[in-house]
Amino acid sequence: MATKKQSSSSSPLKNVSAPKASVKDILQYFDMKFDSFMEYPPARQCFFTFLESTQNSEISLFLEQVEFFKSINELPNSSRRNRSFDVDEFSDQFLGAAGATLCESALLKACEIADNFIHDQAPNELNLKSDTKKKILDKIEKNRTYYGLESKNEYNWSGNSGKGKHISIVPFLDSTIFDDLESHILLSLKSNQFAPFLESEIFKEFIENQKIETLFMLATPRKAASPSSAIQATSDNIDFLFMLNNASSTSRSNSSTSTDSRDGSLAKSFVNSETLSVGEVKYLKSALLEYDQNLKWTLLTYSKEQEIYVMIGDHSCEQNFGRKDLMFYKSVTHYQYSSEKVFNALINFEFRKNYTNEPLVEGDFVKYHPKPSNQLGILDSELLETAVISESYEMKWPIRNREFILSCAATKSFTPENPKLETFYLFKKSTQNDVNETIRSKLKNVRGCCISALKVEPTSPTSCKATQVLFLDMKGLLTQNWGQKILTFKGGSKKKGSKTTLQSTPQQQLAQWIEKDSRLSLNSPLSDAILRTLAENQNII
Amino acid sequence: MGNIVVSPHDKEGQHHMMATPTSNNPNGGSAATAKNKSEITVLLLGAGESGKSTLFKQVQFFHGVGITHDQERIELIEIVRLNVLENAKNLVAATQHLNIPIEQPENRETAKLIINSLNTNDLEDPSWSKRLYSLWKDAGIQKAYENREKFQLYDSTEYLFENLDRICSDKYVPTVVDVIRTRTKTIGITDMKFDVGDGKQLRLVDVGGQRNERRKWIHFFNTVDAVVFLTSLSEFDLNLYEDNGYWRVKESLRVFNEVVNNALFYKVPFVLLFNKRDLFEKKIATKSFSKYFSGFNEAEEKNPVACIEYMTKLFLNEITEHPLDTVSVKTLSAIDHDNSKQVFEEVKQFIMTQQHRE
Repeated sequence: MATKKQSSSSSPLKNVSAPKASVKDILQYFDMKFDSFMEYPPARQCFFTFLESTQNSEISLFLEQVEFFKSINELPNSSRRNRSFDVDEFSDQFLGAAGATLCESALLKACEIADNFIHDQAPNELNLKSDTKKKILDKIEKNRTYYGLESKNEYNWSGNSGKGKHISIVPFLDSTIFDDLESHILLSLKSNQFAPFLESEIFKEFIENQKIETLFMLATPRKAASPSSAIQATSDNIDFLFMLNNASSTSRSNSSTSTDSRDGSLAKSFVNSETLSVGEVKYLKSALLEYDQNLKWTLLTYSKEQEIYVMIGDHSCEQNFGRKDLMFYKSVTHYQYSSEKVFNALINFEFRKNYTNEPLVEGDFVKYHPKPSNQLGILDSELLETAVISESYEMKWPIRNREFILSCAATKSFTPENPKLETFYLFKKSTQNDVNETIRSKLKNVRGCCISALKVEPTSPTSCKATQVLFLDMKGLLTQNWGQKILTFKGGSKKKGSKTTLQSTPQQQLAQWIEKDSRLSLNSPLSDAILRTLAENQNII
Repeated sequence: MGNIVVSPHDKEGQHHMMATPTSNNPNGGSAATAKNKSEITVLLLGAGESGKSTLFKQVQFFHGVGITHDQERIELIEIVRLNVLENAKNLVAATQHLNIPIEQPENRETAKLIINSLNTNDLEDPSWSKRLYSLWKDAGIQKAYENREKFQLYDSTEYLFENLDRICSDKYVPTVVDVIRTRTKTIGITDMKFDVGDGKQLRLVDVGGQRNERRKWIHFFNTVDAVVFLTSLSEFDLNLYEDNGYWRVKESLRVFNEVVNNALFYKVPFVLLFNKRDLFEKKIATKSFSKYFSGFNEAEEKNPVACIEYMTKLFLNEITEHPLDTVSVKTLSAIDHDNSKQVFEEVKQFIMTQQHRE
């Protein structure tokens, strides 16, 4: 690939190895997620080893057996129905209605699980409430009797009068019979065993030997290392933007007086102005897009066409943003289209679709701020044409949905040697003030804070490199998903039951959009507004 | 329990108290050979919901262990809210089961949501505080609550519902009392260690109490230096969590019999703690105690001292093997910080004195 050559010279692809962190560091930056531990086989195995040490091996055995039981049911119908039961018409209808009766081997397995884990005095009896036991055993035993399967257990089920047809109602059994039980067991593991596990030597040994990529699968990057901010996420957002504001004020002519109280300066500053200024744009450009000069980015994952980096704050980050513990993500993607086409398509794409194919459910164009007409020259305080938009992200439980009110300004610049090669920029920041009352009333979700920048620079008349940097303040969840999805995509490992895998590469997706776009001109009011800022703001930086 | 853990790396330079199992193999051979008594292992035993883990949590707090990370508090938020939801679900299910209608239509709506879709994260929204409290105060739910001996309900129910305004808020941070009151069914084994002077360490072992959990006890019986057996005074009108048809007192007596007469504990100091004294005193004010004990004088049934004396006799009668002079009997309210501290201190002294004598 022609584009690839360029990237390898500029980024230390091969040199970035996963840093080996101590458990202390890992726990400082990541919150381990129970669900992910249960989903990732090596982590699950490690947790099961721990369970053995706390005398809870019956639980891991049970979970394994249930998994096996479910796998029997997932076999294609033709292969599992090697011998179907001789059922009468009534139950044929009855069972057939839901379409997924248990095959013999599955039913036998269900009985085995009941005998082994659920019955009183079972060899690996689980800790269950008697109602729960009764409910599930009732179903299983009636089926067992009905189909004439033998019970190892002398379980004298009331009301059963021998085999088969005399029982009027046979409870319907399907592959979900153990689901409630399983989630109950998982919940008690989570609340009772997971925290001690994270303190155990078994865990330490395991986690210290994991690659950073795996950490992103097993854990959520923690936004703040200081204890109070971990809890008070909302006030933290303000802190961060406040500091960002302080940092940025040095790079632009700032008319506000230093006597301002904290709140006062917030009111007049970066954070609170809907319109982006030249100074801010310059700052975002130098702080985010050109940050890679410091080579502090850690390569998270890469594919032929795309590299994803993460930056967990360092000294430089502290200087720029006032805090060390922030996480930024950067993706570099190469496209075989001109920078203009790609930029237009990305804008269109970004506000229609989303990074992960899932979270962005709607984007609304809110307001347009034209450039004040009486501005003289290009000063840092000069204001840019700015489009204000709202975005809402649907997050997975247990994270509440997020709303962003974003100010967006696009701009472009020419390469003097070749005026045809244009570099395009898009800058976004969250605005904290209330844009207007109608929007405000719509915001029932958590307000998110975001800073991001996009640069599309030409590498030839027909190819370009797009660099996107973002900081999303939502306890890392969105960005983590983002990284994780790409990891999943890269590994080609489709997780069972996951509905969100990228169907095509970023290039393919964009190509589709570019083709579509040229045919239909599908610009939304939103992307129109962004492109208008581009036209008005060109050559400003 | 186990949701409160000690972080070995956050206490500067001190000897760490570990709340996690100290080896992969708690019954490992080392203790048997190295009987130099630098470590005293104390088992907390008793049937389900007798208060073992509550006492264990209290001891952790006395020793500055317990919640050391804010992260742990965040995890505890979910556990507290799960308790709220579970209590609410159990109450709603009980109204159906006992055929007591929930009276107010809006409370019926709330009940529906609780059963079908409500999750812990929804409780961040303060409006749930009002809705759940209104449900709690509904005449139907209150009637079910009065009949709580007929189904399984946690002791913390009333406390949690009375504190909904704190819990249902995105600012909620669990307090120590919240943590003590929260019920988490212990599975398996958890332990912690702390210094008790003279270069000795006390290792306190907490275990699950339901029937299936008791099979696990045997694994560490041979390394024990003392047993603290808990039984709940307030369980006289309740049946088992794991067997709805079995009276809790009968189970406690049976378990006590098996443990106290176990040959492995013959030489071991043994403490019997009658827990939940606070709940018990409230309960006998409204419920008949003598109804459950044919041998008890009905005229004395409102007198807690007489009732406890009777219970003590019942339990001590079970002792056939263990020398009585190494058995100590006390009452306890494990949810009460001061009382727990005092009682545990006495227990510790008793064990140390017995050790010394030996």
